[in-house]
Amino acid sequence: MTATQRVRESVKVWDPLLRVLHWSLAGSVLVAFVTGDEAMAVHVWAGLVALGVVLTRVGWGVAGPRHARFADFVPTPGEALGHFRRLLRGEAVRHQGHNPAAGAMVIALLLMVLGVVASGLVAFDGNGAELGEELHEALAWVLLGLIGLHVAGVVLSSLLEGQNLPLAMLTGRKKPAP
Amino acid sequence: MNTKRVWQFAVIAGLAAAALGTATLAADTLNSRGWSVGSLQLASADDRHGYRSDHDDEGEHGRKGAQDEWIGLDQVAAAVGAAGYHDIREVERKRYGYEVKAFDAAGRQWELKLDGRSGEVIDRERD
Repeated sequence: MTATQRVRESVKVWDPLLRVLHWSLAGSVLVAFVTGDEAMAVHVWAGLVALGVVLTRVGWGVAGPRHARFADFVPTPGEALGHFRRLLRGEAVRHQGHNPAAGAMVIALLLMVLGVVASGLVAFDGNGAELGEELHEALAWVLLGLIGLHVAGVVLSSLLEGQNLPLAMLTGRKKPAP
Repeated sequence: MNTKRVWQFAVIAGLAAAALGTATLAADTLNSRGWSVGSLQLASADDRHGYRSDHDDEGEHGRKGAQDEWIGLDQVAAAVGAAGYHDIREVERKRYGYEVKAFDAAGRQWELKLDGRSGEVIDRERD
């Protein structure tokens, strides 16, 4: 009886493709950061992989299962701010999929990766390379800042909700929302 | 609820447009590089491994047609010399032509932009 109860305690939320995309993006961005000034071939390929991941994610956000779909988690600015304030007050609000602040972060991260890749392509191609390079570096730092906020948000939410959210992104299972 | 749907649609459409735009840019850039792994290295690295021969066998890929009309590295060196620069440190292939690092008579290092066909110095910047 306890066994079935334990099974019922977690809900399948993140589908396998979504999880693979999440960690591929994290990996390719990490590789791109590390190879920024050297190993240009690896750097460019890491950027292209990141672009491929974002393209797939955007498609999956329209055609994927419930919690992968943008319609499930793209918040209005009010919802995102509201959740953000509750987070800072230390209130736990468990959401089945992405919470509103996390949903906003997903969009911000996807857009910023696109911006970094696009400016990187301009820098790489040579036409307007100087401007592209500077923009590329500046946007990369903004992306790094967003990733920092993303990780901080995940840690804070994990503590408040009493569940390991990074682990959920590996296993796909979360505790059910109240 | 309705306004939320409109907002979501706008956000998703914007994201999709940005994604498609970047993908187009990537295809464009890769296409001009011949889609091969080796070609994704910087042109300066290509130079060390024999720039001309590398790109002569690009076949039907890329922009061979346009690049065929470009001057060769020997002419680049000659054009840079004629413009009053010496000690070429680096040559990179760019979309407009060549980017050359060299020194002027006073010993200052410059980044020169050369038109790919004429070899004319179209712009320069202190390096």
